[in-house]
Amino acid sequence: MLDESDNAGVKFGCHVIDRMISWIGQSIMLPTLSNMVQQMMGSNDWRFKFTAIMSLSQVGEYVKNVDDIAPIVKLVINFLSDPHPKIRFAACHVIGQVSDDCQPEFQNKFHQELVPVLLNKLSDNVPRVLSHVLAAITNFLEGLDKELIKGYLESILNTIFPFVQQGISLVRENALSAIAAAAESAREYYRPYFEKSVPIIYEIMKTHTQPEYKQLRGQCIECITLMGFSVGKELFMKCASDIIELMAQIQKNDVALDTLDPQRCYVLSGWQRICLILEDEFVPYLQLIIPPLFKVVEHILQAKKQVKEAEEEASLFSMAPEKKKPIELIREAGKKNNNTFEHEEAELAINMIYVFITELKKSYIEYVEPTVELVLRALTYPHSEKIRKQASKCMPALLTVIQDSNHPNKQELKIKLGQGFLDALWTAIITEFDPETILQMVRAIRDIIDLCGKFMKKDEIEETSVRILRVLRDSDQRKTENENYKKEGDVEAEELEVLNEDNDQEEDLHVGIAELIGILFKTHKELTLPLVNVLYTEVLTKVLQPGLSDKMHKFGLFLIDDMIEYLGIELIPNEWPHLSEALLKYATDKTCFVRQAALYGIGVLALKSKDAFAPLAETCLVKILEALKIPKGNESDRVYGFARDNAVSALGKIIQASGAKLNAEVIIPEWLSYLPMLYDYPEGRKQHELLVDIVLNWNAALVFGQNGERLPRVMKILTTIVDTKMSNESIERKISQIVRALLADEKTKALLENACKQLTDPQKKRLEKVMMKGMKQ
Amino acid sequence: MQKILSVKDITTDGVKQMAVQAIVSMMERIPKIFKDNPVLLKDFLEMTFAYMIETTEDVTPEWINPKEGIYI
Repeated sequence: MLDESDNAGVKFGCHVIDRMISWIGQSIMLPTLSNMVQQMMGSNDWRFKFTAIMSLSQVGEYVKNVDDIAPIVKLVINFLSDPHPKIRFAACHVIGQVSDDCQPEFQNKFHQELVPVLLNKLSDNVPRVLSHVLAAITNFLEGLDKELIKGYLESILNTIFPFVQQGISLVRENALSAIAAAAESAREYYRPYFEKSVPIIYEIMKTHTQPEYKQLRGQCIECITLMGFSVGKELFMKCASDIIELMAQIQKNDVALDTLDPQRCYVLSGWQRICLILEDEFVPYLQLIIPPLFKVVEHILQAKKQVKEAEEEASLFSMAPEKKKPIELIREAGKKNNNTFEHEEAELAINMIYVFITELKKSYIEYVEPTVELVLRALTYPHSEKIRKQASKCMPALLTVIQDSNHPNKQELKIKLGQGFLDALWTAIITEFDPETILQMVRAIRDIIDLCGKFMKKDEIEETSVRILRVLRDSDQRKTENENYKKEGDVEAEELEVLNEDNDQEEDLHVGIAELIGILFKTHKELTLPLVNVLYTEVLTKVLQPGLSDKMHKFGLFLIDDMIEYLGIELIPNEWPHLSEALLKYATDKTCFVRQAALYGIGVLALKSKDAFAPLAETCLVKILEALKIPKGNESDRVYGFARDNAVSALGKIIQASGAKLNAEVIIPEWLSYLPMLYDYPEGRKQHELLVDIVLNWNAALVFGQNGERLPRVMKILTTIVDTKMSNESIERKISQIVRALLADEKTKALLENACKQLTDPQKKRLEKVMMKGMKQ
Repeated sequence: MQKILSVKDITTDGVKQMAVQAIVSMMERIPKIFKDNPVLLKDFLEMTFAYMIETTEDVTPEWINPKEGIYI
């Protein structure tokens, strides 16, 4: 909200106060600050009051209960009517900053007081103050719930729209921001106002072509596309063509490449929004938009020669990082150096490309080639990890475009491009220093290999294995260095926190590497056996030691799960018993995600061991039932639910694998008592399909009970999953078959009718629906 | 640092800003010194406010009515 021209010294001081609260702690700082502010408020010198009010803007971030802000709100509302314009300005500043820091609680609590007061202050006769009232309104509206803004929308728009059309550019820009915030928060409630709003903004975009109105035009683009996002495709389509053509014209003729131009940023995010609104309807415009757009992106992604030096200079006076809006970035960029803005622009550019690829899917095929060049450039963008990460994500997404397209040589093209991407990613990983970015690159490699299937030869797999092991060893080395540094002593608490966070990221990277190795096993089977040998002899023994962290155990268990699932007992018979032992050991681990990984492994062990499973079955069952009895404790429903679902799934897989060899009369009712699975959808669908398959193809009495005593329970399970992600067409078709079969016999019909009486109304409706569907098939 | 900040004739505000910056960096490195010494903390907060007050500019016509396209 506050820019350099408003007062650099005050801005700097506010940052210092913010850092003091952050480092010293609010319990010490807030009373000290409050005493001093009260003293300064009593001064006759307006500068004391101004500074004191400005300092209050830093408090919101640290207030735990929004009720504690009530005295500040009361105070600043009074200052909104102060005779001195800078005091009124400061009061607006506090409201804007606290709105941002404490949303949505602040808005929920104070909307009745603040919305009318702020709208009333739009009568201020000082343009600078007026623009700051609008900025405060923008921040307030951004955090206001759509149900709350609904009642104010008419008066907000009636009061603010006149400021869009007249006055100095700063006021008009901030009025546009406020309208955009209102449209964004109101979502579908903005529909009645959309068609009236668009011509006003469109006219400004079209007519204000002078250089001093670049910011204004940019904000018009933002406002109009945010409105479109809120009102949806159908309504936006009515004016989409005119808006897109005008934006394309601005992009082609008015967006400067070699100088700072705020329009660039707005055009990039504008196209991204339009793509999300229009989806496939956006495709016809791509020919018009993409060639000039890619020129802009290419320019943005060019590394600036002086960036590094300028960054070093800037860091001397760096302040605590904060979340910035495009308008602030643009303004700051205009004042001092352009680096942050350029990085932000580059981030917007690569995000926009990612949205285009993933939203337009196969329709994007024509643009894959030019996009590849941009993505490869972004992968080596030196000044922002975010850009390198997003570029990595674009790569498998581009391969998916090719895979889903009608390109005549799509298989060869996919593999050729995939190989090129893999080379680029492995090269980038060598010079990458940020573990989170390395993890994203490893994930991209995993997805590329998964998409391409078996395409590497023996020597390429060996090379890939060497690279994987190097990433693993480098990560281990960084972890060890961090640990050693921690032991050296004299490490501050904050530094310790950073080192622990770093190591946590390294462990996430380990898990990511395990997932990549899993995909190699899946796609290249026997070619990976030399890698298995290294992992088995050097890695697993180390990471599964009891004293290591949960994430390292998860890493080891992931490797085991994938060895069992994708290589099978035929390829690794000697390792099999030891792998099974490790799974059993961790199946009852106290940590949900470790337990989940081990239980999943037991499930695949049952399916993949063939005859070798029989001697293990009893021990596995005991462990699974033990795991199911572990209480939830403080774990979240979701985390606990996933572990529980994997235990249930393992039980089902043992039933599936053991068939008649198992004491099914006991185990199946036990398994049923834990169904349906509600968290792990893919595993859930497998188990629910197994349930209907046992009824249809194996032995219905095992499921329903000899006298149908479990039929009510089964019907509850089936009618709970119908029409949800826990089911699919195949399961529902089989449910319909089961019900029809039960209805065909008088005895079972009576049992079914009795079971259905115990269903809730929504469950009965779902059953009717599935039967209707079944009749049609 | 206090001396630097109290001198009235240092017109280059960068020097005073650097003084405040130096102290806040020290505070971030060793917050305990300030946590354990309320007087020192109060003095530093006062210095920060003094700097803010001193650099607060009067209302000018340019501030009231910024020129068109001020941020471009």
